[in-house]
Amino acid sequence: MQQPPGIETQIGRTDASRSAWVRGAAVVLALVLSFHFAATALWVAPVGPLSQALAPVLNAYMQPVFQQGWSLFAPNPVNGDSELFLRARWTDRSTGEIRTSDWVDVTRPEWSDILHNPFHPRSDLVTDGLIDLLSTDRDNLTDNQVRICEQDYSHSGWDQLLANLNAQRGADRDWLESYVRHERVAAAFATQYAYAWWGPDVEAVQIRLKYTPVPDFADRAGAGAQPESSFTDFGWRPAVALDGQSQKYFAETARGADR
Amino acid sequence: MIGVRVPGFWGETWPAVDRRWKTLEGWLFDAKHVTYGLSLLRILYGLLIIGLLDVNFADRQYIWGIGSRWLQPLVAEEGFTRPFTLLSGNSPLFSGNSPRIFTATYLLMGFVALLFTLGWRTRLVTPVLLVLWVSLTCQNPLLTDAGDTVVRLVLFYLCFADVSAHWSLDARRHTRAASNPDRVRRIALPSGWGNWGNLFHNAAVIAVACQVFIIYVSSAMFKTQGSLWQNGTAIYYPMRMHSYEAFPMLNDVLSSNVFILFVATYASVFLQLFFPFLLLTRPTRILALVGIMAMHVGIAITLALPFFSLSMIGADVIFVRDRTFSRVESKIKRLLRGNMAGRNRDKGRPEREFVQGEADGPAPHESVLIYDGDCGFCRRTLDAMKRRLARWPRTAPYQRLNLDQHGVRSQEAAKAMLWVEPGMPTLIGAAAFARLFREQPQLRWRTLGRIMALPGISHLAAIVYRVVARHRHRLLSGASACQRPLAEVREAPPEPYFDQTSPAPGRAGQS
Repeated sequence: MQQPPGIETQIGRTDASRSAWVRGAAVVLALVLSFHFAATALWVAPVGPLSQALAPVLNAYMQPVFQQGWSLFAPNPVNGDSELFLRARWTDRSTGEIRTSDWVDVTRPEWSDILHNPFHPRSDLVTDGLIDLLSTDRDNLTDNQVRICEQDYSHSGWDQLLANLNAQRGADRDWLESYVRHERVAAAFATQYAYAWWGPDVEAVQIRLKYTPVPDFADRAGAGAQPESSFTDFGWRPAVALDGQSQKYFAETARGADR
Repeated sequence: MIGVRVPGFWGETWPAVDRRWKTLEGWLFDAKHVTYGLSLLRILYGLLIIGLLDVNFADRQYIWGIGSRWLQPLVAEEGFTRPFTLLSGNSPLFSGNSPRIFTATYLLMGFVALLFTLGWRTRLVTPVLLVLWVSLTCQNPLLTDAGDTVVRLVLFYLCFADVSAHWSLDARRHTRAASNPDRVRRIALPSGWGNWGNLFHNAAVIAVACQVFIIYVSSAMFKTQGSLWQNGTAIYYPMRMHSYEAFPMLNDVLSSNVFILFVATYASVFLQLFFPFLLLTRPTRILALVGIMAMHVGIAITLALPFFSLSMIGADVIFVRDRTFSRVESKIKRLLRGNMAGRNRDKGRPEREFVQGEADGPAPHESVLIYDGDCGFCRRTLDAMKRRLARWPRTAPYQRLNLDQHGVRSQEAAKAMLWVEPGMPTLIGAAAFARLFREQPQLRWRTLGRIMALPGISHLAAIVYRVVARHRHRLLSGASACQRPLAEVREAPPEPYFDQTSPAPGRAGQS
């Protein structure tokens, strides 16, 4: 049962061959690993005074290669289904009339692809990820800022949206910048989808999130009243096409986009 | 007073500290540890990456390629820089902006993952695979799941380890080289070099272990804060969500049972929270590993997260000891060889010696199957089995044997069938049957014998056997048969061990 040892293990069996260098390296490695896992433990733990004090060091060391977070289905799992709806607005070329599409559910086609297929491609979770990004952000907005986000910025644009959000009391400028960046990413996704559905004339897009709780465990048999859905609306936003984006490859794959 | 005690204290303590230190040093430098675990980890991660590339192949441009450029601001936020930018839009080498070059790189990555799985030059291949893996997955931060992160971190640590000590092309090459003296001299490293390799390997093992501990313990600590985890219903909710639910019927059944739900919810929290401590002793280690792997299999099926599950199972296998792996490996090898010779050798008895013993007459180590000759039910059962099973040891009723010679008491033999083999514990009842089945040449009987010997099942079988044996006088032939005098019992002459109805005794085991 003894396995033939690898060549490296055959050599260096004796104590005498252990140089001061390699012993020193062991000490250095022990220190490196101690630092690494102390930093990792602090990084994954809930924010506290110590991790705040060490934030510059931790950020520099952990990001991006050791970036991680293990709050999986915790503290409580998300307990409902979220769907992403979108619609688009464009000017009819022949009549000059402004047309607005119906709302389209982009998430359901993804769900039907997941059904009966645990080995589904990860493209079936695109709107799931997008909804997660948007709703986490949205929870951090003040009521006034939420009202601003529900307004139409399709003409005044992203800079105006950012400026208006920043004008609110107690605004965190850095965070709001990333908020608007995320909204723009969502709009860029919606734009690609809208191009595939309604053609290249789309000028503005709008996103709505629908949240339907899973029936409470006590009502799991479905006897009680079905839980009500709630909606989160974002205002109209200008269509966004980012550099290098291929409409063709998006439209070919996006679930349901190839109606 | 103190002046007297201190030297005494050090005089006693120092040698102990020194001994501990030497043990630690020995562990770090003398040999590579967990070589089997890391080899299996390598194979599992290689297959994971190949599988992931495969199921996403059709959608690759949409997920990571030029169909996904709407995500660029998020990619920039993640901040991955060289060398992890191979597939970004502005990489000079493998520009992700050309769909063809992207596809070529994607396929190249599949090939590198295959080399990794096969264990070809892993010292070079592992870092290359890491760079490719991060370059690809960082192109879509929205679709990066926890499994991607686990693979990234673990692959990083594995760059410092020997992951191809077993089941690999590297291992085959080393074995061949070692048997060729010329090559050994040519590739021999300077004396003391092995210390360095062992040190980094063992440090990498520690790193993977610590990473797994951080994952489990921190995720359990977050869960313990949640009211749904506390009331034992947490896993009901994701199991009912469309984005996780691949088999609604199954999830329905599992998640609506309060008992299953409660046990699974609490078990997953406790197994994770106590994972590092459960590893400290063997019984709890088995519990922890079996439990946590069952949890991951459950996650893979009920939450449609097979790749995440595989990433954790792959990391968990490092906690199975090399000794266990090498035992399983040799068992599988023997099973593949699949003949009696191999099994006999396992009991420390070389095949040749055994056959010799048979040829010379009753061997001292001969097995005997002892039954109750007064029991008609027993005789009929054995007769029926003799028609079906090919190989039998010497079979005799206890009434005709000198039981002392076999180290058996007549009360025992009256209660149950016994399999007596010198030097081995006597097998009683169901265990004797299991042993008999395991000696058969057909796979189906051997499999049955093995299953009957499994923990849990063996206990169950023993109970069933005892119940049947206690009431055997009332079964089938009834009491009358059992009361027939022994003289009338037609007794087959003692048969040589494992003779397959062959007229010449002693041919057993030669086939």
